[in-house]
Parts: sequence; C-alpha cells; structure tokens
Amino acid sequence: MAGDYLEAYDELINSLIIELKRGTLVLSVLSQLKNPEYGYSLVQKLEEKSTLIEAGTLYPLLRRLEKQGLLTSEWDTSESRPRKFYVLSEEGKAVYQHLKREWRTLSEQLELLLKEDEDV
Amino acid sequence: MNLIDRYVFAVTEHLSDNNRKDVADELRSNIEDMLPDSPTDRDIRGVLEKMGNPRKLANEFYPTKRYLIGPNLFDSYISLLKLVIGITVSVMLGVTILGWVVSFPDNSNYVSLITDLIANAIGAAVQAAVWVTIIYAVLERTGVSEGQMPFSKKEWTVDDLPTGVVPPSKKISRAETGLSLFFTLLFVSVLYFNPNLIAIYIHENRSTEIIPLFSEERLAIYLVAILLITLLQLIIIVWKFIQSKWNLPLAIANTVQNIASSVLIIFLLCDRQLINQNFFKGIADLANTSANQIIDSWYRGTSIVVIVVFIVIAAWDSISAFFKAKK
Repeated sequence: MAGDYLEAYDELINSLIIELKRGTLVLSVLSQLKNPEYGYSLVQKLEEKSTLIEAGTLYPLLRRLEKQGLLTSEWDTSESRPRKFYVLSEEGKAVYQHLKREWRTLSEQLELLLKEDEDV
Repeated sequence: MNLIDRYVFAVTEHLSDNNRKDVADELRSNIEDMLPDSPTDRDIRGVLEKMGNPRKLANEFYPTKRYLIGPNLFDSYISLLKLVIGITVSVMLGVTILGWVVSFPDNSNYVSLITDLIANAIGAAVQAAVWVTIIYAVLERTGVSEGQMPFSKKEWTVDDLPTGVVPPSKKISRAETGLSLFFTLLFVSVLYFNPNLIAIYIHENRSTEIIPLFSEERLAIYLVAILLITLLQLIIIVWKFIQSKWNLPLAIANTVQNIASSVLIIFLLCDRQLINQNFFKGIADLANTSANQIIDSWYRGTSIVVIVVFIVIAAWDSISAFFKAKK
C-alpha cells in the first residue's frame, strides 16, 4: 500500500516537473543557437550545461521552430555524414531577446512569491 | 532492413510526402551521431530505445489533427450514427418489403426476399455510416467541434457563451430532427432505389396492374441533383443535431437548402416528360374522363398549386429559422 502511494506521488511529481520544464524548453534551445548546431551537437551542448533534454523531444522541436520562422536550417554535406544545421533567424534573435526579458521578469516575480512564503 | 532503417521508417511512414525524406535524412544522421564508431547491435538498440516509441516521435513531429472525429464530437457522432443507421435500415427494409408485396404474383420466392432484405439492410447501414462519418469529419475540421461557426476563425467573445438553458423557442428538438431525417431518407431511398413504388395499383381479375408515377429514364436525369440536395439536407440535419439551437449560419444554410429544393420541385413538376403518360391514362380511366383533361388540369392547376404551397412552406421555414436564430 505504502509503495503504491509513493509510486503515485513520484509519478505526480514527475509529471509536474516535466510540465515546469516544458515552458523553458524553447528558451533553452534558442539560447544555444547563435551559431549553427546540428541535432546531436545541441543535445551535447545542453548536456554540458546540465540541461537534459530528450533527443526525441529536441529533434521535432527544432523543426517546429524552423516552421515558425525562428530558425533557419541548412544541410552540410561537406563531411562524411550529412548533417542539418540550425541557427537563429533574424526573427528568432528578436524573439529570443524578448523571451529572455520575459523569463527574467517571470523568475523575479516567482522568486518574490517564494521568498514571501519563507519569511512567514 | 537494419534496425535504424526500420526505426526511421516507423517514424516517417505516416508523415506527408513532402516532409518525409527530409525528416528521415535528418533523423538518420542524428541517430548515427548518437552512436559510437562501428557500433554494435547493443549500441543501436540503446540509442533507439532512448529515442522512444516511433509513433510518439511521429506525433511530436506533426501534432496536427490526425483523427477523423475528435472527443468533442464523438458522443454526438455515435448517437447520430445509431439513429441514422436505424432509420435507413428500417426504411430500406420497408421499401424492400413493399416492393416485394406489390410485385405480386412474382413474389412467391421467399429466399430472394430474404437475401434482398439482408443485402439491402447491410448496404443501407454501410451507406449511412459512410455519409455520417464524412459529414462529421468535415464539421470537425471546420471548427464546429469547438463551438465555433464553421469556416471562421473569429475570436471567442462573451456573446458566444451559451445562455445556459437554450430557450425553447430557439431550440431544435431532437425529435424534430429525427423526423426530418426519417422523411429525407424515405424520400431519397424511394426515389433512388425503387421509384416504381410511387404508382397507382389497379386490382383487377386477381392481378394487379401497376402504373408508376414517374418515367424512370426521365427521373434518372434528376437523380444527381436530388442526391446533392439530400446531402445538403443531411449536413444541415447533422449540424442541427450538434448545435441543437438555431444560429445565423445554420439559418443561411437552411435557406440555401430550401431555395435549392424549391428550384428542383419547380423543374420536376414542370417537366412534361417526367410523369408517365400511362399514369395519366390510368387516372383518367378511374375518373372516367379523358387523359388529356387530366394532363391539362395537372399542368395548369394542380402542379402550380403544389409548387406554390411548397414555396410558401419553404419560405416560412427559412424565415422562421432566421427569427429563431435572432432571438
């Protein structure tokens, strides 16, 4: 019984954490694409900065962002394995700056709320 | 095919043609990037399992409407499907039995009646299911499911809020919709499958002479128009069923349908070749007058009265729909 309860608790926490992270996903990706990157290099780059993102989430996300006009892509066939490189478009750069500001405001506001709770 | 090929194929097989190759190429190069040099089978399995279920990945790539009828419309779809199948099957059974009864005396063969009944019932059920499904799929994609007007991307405003209980004056009762569905299907299945049922039956000397109202060849010319108008009528019925109250686009569609069927009625009734000449003769014999007199009074009098009555009813129906939509 207790095991079941713990499992359910873990599941709930996990899904809430995923929910929280999902909102930051686009911003994380945009922040790393000033210079062209291909799918796996981006996974590694994010991993180095201890942002874990599933490959199965990232690859489709890149295509979606391209479709929305935030990224441009190009196949590089000069190396032994052809790779598709993505980089911020002009619009993407503007959107990134905008989102960055939004994020800072948001985290400040949230910090305020959380801090208030600790003070009590 | 090796594992990677199979995986890439499983992800991309449901994508649209113009994306498939690019997604496949990119996915393959990404997977290969994740593998060490000269990978073993175990390495490949590990990477593919990390990428996860290919169907889920495909959904991530194109999270578009990849379903025919969504959860919003599903309940209404199922209940209308049952209703329509029920009505069509019973109408078809009725028409078949009636056709068999009047084909006296060739109707002693019960086996052919039973096979006809089964075949027609199945055919009717399939037709009904296909059309209802198509109509719902179209409505799903035009925004009716989100409570929107079809074909408009208008933002939601407070005015769109349901008034809670729909006032009875504005409400379209399900019984009314069911009834119009029944008559629509009855009308079209008789005209389409067995127009000879509309006839006068003269019982004489233990045999029955059947004189059909319509000349079948001539009626065939109108069948496409009849079917199209019926389809429009069915769309409106489904739409009424979903919305269950009158609104402006529905009233407009209703008017279009009424105008179309009025035009059709005018064409049908003014067409002098549509009605079987023998039918007039038969009537004349029964009424002890000459066929010419019957023909004359039909085209000069009765048909015009029928047209006028039809148009008045159609106009009333159209206008009252607008009033109900406005209230």
